[in-house]
Amino acid sequence: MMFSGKQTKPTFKSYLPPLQTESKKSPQLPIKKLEAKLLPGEIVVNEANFVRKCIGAESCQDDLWGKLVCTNFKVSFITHKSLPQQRFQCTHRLLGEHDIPLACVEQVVTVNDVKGKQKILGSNQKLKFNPTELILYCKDFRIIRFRFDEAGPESAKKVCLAIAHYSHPADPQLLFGFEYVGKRYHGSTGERVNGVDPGGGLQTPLFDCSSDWDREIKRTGASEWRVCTVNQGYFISPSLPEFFVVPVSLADQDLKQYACFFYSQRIPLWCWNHSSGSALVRMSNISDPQQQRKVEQRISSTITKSHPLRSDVFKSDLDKNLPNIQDIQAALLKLRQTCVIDPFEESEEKWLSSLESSRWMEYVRTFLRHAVEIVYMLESRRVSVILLEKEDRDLSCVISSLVQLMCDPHCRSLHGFQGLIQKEWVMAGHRFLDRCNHLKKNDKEESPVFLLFLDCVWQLWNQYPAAFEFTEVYLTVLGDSMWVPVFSTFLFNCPRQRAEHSRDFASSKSIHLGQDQALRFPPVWDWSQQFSLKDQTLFNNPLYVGKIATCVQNGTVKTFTHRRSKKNYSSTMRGLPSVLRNGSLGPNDTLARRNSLVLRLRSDLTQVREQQETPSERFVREFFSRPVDLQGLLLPQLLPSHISVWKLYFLRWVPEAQIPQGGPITTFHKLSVLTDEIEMLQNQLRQYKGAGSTPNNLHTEHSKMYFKATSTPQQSPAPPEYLSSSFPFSPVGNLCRPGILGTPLSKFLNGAKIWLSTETLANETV
Amino acid sequence: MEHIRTPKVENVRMIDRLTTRKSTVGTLYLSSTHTIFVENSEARKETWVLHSLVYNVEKLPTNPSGSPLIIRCKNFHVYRLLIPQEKDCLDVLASLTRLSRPERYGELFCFSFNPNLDKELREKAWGFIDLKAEFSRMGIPSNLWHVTAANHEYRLCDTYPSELFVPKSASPAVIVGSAKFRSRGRLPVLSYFHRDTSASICRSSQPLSGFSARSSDDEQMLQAIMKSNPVSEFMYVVDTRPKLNAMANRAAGKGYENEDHYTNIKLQFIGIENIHVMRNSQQKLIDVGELAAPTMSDFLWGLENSGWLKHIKAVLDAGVFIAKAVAEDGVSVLVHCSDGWDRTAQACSVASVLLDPYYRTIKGLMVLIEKDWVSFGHKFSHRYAHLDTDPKEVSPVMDQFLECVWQLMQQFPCAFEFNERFLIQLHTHLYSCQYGNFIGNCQKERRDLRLQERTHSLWPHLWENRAEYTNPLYRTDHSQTQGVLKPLTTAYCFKFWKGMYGRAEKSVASHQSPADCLNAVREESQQLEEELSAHQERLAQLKERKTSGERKKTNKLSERVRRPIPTESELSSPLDYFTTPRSEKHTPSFTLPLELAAPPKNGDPDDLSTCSDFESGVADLSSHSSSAGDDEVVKTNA
Repeated sequence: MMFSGKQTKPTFKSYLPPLQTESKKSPQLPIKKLEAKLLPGEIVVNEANFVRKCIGAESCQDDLWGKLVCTNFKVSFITHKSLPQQRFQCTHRLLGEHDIPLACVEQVVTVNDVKGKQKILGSNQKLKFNPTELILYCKDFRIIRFRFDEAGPESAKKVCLAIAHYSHPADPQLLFGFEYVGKRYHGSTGERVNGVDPGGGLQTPLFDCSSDWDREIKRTGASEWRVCTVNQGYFISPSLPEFFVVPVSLADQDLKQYACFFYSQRIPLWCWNHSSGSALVRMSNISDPQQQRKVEQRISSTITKSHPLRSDVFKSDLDKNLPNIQDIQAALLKLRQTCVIDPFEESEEKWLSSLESSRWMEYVRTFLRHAVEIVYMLESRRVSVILLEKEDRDLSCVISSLVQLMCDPHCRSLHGFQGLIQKEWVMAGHRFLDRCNHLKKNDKEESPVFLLFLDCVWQLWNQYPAAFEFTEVYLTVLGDSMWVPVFSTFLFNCPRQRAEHSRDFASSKSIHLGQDQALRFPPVWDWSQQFSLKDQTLFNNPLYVGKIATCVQNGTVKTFTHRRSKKNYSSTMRGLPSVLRNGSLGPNDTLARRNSLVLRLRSDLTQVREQQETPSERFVREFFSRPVDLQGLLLPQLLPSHISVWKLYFLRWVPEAQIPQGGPITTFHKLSVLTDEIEMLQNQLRQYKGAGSTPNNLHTEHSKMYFKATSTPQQSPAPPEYLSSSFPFSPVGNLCRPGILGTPLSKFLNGAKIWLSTETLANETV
Repeated sequence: MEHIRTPKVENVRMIDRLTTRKSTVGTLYLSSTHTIFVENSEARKETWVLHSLVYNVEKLPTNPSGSPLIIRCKNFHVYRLLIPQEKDCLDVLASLTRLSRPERYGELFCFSFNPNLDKELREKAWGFIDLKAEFSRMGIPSNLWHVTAANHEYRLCDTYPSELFVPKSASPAVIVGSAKFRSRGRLPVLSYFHRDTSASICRSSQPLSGFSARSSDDEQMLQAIMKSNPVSEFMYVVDTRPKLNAMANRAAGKGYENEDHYTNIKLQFIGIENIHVMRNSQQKLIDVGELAAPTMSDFLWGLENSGWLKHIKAVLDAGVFIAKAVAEDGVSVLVHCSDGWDRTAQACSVASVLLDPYYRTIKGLMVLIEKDWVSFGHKFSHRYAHLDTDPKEVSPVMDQFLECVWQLMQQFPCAFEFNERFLIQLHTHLYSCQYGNFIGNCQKERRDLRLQERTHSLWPHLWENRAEYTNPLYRTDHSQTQGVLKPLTTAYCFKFWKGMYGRAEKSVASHQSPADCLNAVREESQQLEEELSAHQERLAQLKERKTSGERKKTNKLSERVRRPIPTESELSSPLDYFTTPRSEKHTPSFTLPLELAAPPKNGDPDDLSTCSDFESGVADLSSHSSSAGDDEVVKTNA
């Protein structure tokens, strides 16, 4: 296939034997055996042989020889040699060790270092030079580099163009998930007859049916709220789910009437009820300013009616208080620049100030802080809260999820957390397709809102490691799964879009959908799509698992056990404090620009005099003066010194940040072994109690821990050699910074300080 | 007592550090050793501030609500008071200023501090750390190294210990000659011997080389050190200073070794800045920690501009270089700076921590500090301003060493037997002058002060309370505890030490570290093991069958699990933490009008740690104020 095109012109160079340096020897591998492993529906588009994947930073000694393949799903590099260092890696069921999903490719850069040329390739483009290397900048912060020194120049060019083209799909239905899922329908029909729902027996509620919502209403005790079905068939609002929850006092007729006042006909959505009866509601802007007051009053009064104390409603305008999606995108780009693009020597020198100038951590803190303010309203003031955002599809998702994570211990369990994302992101219509920019069409719509949320969750996790059922590996892998375009979770902008594309695709491929609304894309929560059961144990937090074990033993699993505060609150609110009347909670200092340190210090000193503490300050202070109940309310510590860099996510590919045999993973290892020991002892206990009805070897199969205790616990197993702070990831071969390679490329890329957007560069010709 | 103008001021407000808008009303007392603030609230919460820990006292302009007074402590606590009458404020200011700046050694707290130990116990306590035993642990004396009497009665060098370990091949004449060629007579002597490779770490001050001077004795001395490592063909001389600084010293007749004059040495500069740069840098860092409502920008910029983490990196880099030379290349290293008592001590001790797992234990770190810092004449009283002396002599040299260890603990959480609290406790006692260990500037001075007769030793006290300084993640058979630590020293790996510099957060429930959670897990596992062994025994009884195999296993299991440390929430009072029985024999010389305090609302472990000295700290005060456990009570004597 690769040589089927026109003959390559004999050039002066081609008469010479390939340069044989020591490292480059033996490209003569049994090439025939180098075949890409394909998934159902996956086809090879183009490929090139004798390609070198760069591994080492400075020399090419460790580089790997193999075949570069572009399919309709991934960029695959197939090689016989394993990597120089024997290292650990989770085996991904959909992706090989060197594979990159096309959806993960951010930018395709081709270089000819002899001619000193480079070009960033988009879809359907021409390339006027023969590339000597290909650099793939990935959305998960990796930078992968291939050399074509020994490859046929034409095939090299073709494979580059193919990668560029297929990583810019023109239509959502060209995303691999459709072919992948479509193939299932053409395969054995038995699968369907089984009647397995798309979750495959998942415990995670998907909130795509009214029963999931009913359960959530019951669980939170929201008796004055009901599931409404007016949007069945998406006839009212295109971006709302078919089922959602509204106040009991709002009749379907009212809903239909009010829908037209809201942006995209989004009727306000119930998110969650606090145990005090206060509700968390999200709402989009009212498009008609003349109707605004009236509609708002009506909505507020129905929410008030649904409150057991008939409390007031507090409205929080997120657009006014939080950075917008473009700010968030800009912050991530700068952070990426600092972490992986800038030469290490430069970024190390000004690491903290670069971190600061990206503003990413500031935004993380801003979102956490805002969520705390909302928690104060629900928890302490016992009022219902409306989160107001223009479209109600980005910032609201973050804030409503964070509020629930802080208040509701159920959301800190694995299935609770997954259900939360289903509820507040997938069903509420977060535009995953646009925000991920899977189609690479509109860079202005691209924004890592979900990643920002994950970082906020990580901060909470980092401050209360025993309060969450999952680990930071779980959060990292969840973030990465956005770039594997087969999951229903991250492929669409809203449920309706999923249904429409499913219908179109099904009819074009003559697939019979039957009862289903949409193609049965697996949700990301079906983790066995990606990982073995053994690897999935990396998601289990040893500090949490121990607790569950004891809970289950007692026969019940505690879910929502919110402790009521002992303080007496007056049941009626006598008006809101002045700061609340204008709808915001005072100035948001984190968004203010940098102050002079000296000035600030001086003003601190002058503050040494009596001032009144605000109620929300007192709420936070009192929370921290009590011992923390991990099964109750959790507030994050917001001082800047408590906000950390999520190293596992942002620095896992950076060799200079990888601590061999060190890092938090060593704690994880130690705790896992201990927890496993406890499980083992519990099993033994059960054996004695049950007179040995279960065989002993059951333990190893059912252990929830990745790292296991030895059967002779007097010797604790040493942490494996491959453990490093990047575990289970590895920088080897995953980060080829332009700078450290010493190629002429650095000249080009150093000029462009900021990672230029694909759009800007797509038209650039050499 | 003659310096106390007002022993008691009423209706003083203490302003909360975290939210300046909150304050509590109480009474302020001044004793000869402490400032005590007692809240008027029901809990009668007390805050104790040891005078010797006071760094400075500042009065701000009087405003309508009173005269603000800020007390800043050497352990980075800050107390903000509002005193109703300006006159009272000025009196407190004057008293505290004087009390916090003793002029003579005799005024220091350690000479009045009396934990009611009898003479015999006190002497035994001073023998707790035995440096001779430490050298013999390293295998010294050996056929190549021995102890020299050259510094008997401090004839050769008055800032060195009297017993020095030198190569056997170095003749007395060479030793004396080498001392003469070194600044302040601090000749090259052994600091650490690495058994596996026979490479050694030696230390000295800079040579008096100027631009051309040389000493054959000194050259022979270095040759002898190199030869004491039979397999090695050269040795490193690590000058921990920036090269420019070292060169500047040549004009003053000092400087560094000329590689042409010494055979087979390789000179390496590391670039740790001098004490003045470090002092200024730390001040900037403290300012960052003191910010009342910092934004992310304030914090990150402040942290970077302080340069503090870069200095920590430099010290750690020096340790890494030395450790690598000794362990991987098997090459001996001579370390020096200018005088060889600041940067040299840092570099040698950091290298030792990296090289030898023993120094990562509680006892081992004590030994290391006693060896590399106390015995080799680190100028404690100057650096930590024990007396009212030249402020230019003050510098956070040891702070940096402790922080290096802390940074290493962040990278290798399972490698150290001790926890963060232990380091903070050490840091506090560096300044507190409660024990005699860190008083004076060298061994000779301590001998002349008869400190062993007149004061108490810190080490046995810490050792008795080691349960609260133990890292539950540490296990001796863990690979991180074995062999050489290889830390990363890139900027990503250095963190702001919240526990030390972010003391503003002390009143706040601290971060829950996995180690804290582990204590709970540990307890659970012990319960299960007990249950298991009970069942096993019953089974054995019932069946009357030999189950020795299983029982053996259970026994081993129980051995492994040490006594669980109770978790915060389970403690009825933080005093439960302390294993030392409280002395009942105090004779109160100063009685506070206190009732028994209510149990604490919050058990912040960091605060609790400081309470361990409760009974001793108030030996000369009333002891029936058992509110020591209260969450904000700060036993600054600790």
